[in-house]
Amino acid sequence: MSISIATSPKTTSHLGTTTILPLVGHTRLTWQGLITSEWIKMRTRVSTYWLGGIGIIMMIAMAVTSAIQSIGGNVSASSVMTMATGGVVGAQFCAMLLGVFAISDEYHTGQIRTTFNAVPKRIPVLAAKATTVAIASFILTFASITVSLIVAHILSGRGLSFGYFTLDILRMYIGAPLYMAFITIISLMVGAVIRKSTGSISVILLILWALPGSAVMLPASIAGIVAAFMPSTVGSALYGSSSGGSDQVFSAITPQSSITLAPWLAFIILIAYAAIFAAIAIQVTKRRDV
Amino acid sequence: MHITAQNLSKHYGKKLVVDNASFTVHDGKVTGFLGPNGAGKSTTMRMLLGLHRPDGGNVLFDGKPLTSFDNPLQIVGSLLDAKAFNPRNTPHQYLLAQAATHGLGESRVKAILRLTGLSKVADKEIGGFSLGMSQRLGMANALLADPQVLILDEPINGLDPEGVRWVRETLKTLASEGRTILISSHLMAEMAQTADHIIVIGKGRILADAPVDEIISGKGFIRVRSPQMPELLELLASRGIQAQSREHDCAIIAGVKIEEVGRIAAAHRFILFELAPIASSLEDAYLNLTADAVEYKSGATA
Repeated sequence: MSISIATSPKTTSHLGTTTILPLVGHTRLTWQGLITSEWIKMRTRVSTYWLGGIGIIMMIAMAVTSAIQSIGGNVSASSVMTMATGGVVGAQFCAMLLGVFAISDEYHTGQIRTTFNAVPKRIPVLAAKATTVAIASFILTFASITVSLIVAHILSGRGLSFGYFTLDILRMYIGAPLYMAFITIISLMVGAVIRKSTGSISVILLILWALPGSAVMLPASIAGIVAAFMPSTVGSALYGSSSGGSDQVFSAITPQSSITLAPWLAFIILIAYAAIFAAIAIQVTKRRDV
Repeated sequence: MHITAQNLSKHYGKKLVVDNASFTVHDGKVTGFLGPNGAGKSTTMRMLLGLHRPDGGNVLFDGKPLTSFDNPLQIVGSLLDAKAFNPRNTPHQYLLAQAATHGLGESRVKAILRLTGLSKVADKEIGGFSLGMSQRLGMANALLADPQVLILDEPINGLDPEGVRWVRETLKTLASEGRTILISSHLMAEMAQTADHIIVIGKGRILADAPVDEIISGKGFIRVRSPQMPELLELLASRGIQAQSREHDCAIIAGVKIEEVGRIAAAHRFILFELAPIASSLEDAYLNLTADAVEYKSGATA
């Protein structure tokens, strides 16, 4: 077999083409290979850099502005962390788009066919995409919070003393990146169902922000309970300040809830939400003609 | 490796696009897949790859579904739509991502780029490519993991003559290595040169599935030349064999096997200068086969 490769090709041309396909031995489709592939795709999407950049800037800018406003006051360690995570409210839109584009781009160009040609079972692609974009979302948020934290510390005049990491502050530190990863994953799953980026974005905005807002139309007693279990509210229970008030944007449009979810409960509820979105995406993806 | 399609059916809404199609694509050959626009070619090819889910029937590769292999990209490579790449990516980036799924890397991508003549544009954005360059990238993608089967939908559209010849010679070489190749095209002259076997589909049904020679000579016209033509035709007519046309010492007859004509002539001691099947072109044969199955006819006379 190898002898035929060694013989000179039948034709060569100005483009240097030959008609002899070099062989490769038996290879296998692996999870590691899929992750590498999706990692390369994410790295080579122009939008990734845009979204990452805007997200980081939003997070840090939010921390800087709130820190400047607090200069002179008596700033607690917890409120510095609130400043550092405050940008999540805006940056989550970047997390959303990161998730949507990871799949809508492939449907838009038709590349999804070559992707599913390599992975006929299809679902591993969804899993690999979810893993890569969620990790990217988590790491970028975590890094932004870290930078924001340092900047907010210095600006608010507390100096660089890190001896105050209480459990509650650690919760916010980890909770915010987890919430961003969650937003990215459910956005990917919605994108996998809707395929088009515009439609996906509309649906996500509807689910995450319009629905909680419309809960005001329900009787007050029910509205509070419903609002407390909406993904965006659950998210703020995971990363928001336990003294409240971190999320003025939502509290303005969402019915006030008497229910405050424990962080671990909020975490479990987000996982349950992600599982529901993923289950729908899996069913649709399996059956679809691409 | 051979592909078996068994009773494939597919509806889009109420329209039946593929109707109970069964066929086998064998290894070691280039099989041409022909049919008018809208006949169900692309749909069938997508069903073979598992991209479109059939409403009925199944597709097996050496008796097993594609999902049962641990190296799908080495089982089948495909080119369905030359423009199906992210226009902001480069061939190098795209192929690297695709190769990575099967643990292949930089060296394989470089080799494939060289093979398909894309080395010089490896780092250019795909969005700026001509159709021909995109087709080359499509071929590169199809050949990437050294697959046993190739499914190519119109791979020579938009290629320059050098590219057309490259595809033809590459496919013949790959077939001679024992690979299975299914290629669709509307360019009959090209298919006549490239394909060993032809499957014709029309209105979702398989109309013909035979070696190229058989498809071409399928009309069964025979050309006979003899100095004793009037007597010979009389004899043939007495056996129910009619001449379609006659000019001097040459006649075209039909409805009989060529061996039979030879035996009859010999038995009656006729001199034959020529006895040959009429090779119509693949195009003629194709147009005859699909005459009733054309979905979108030019200059509609209906």
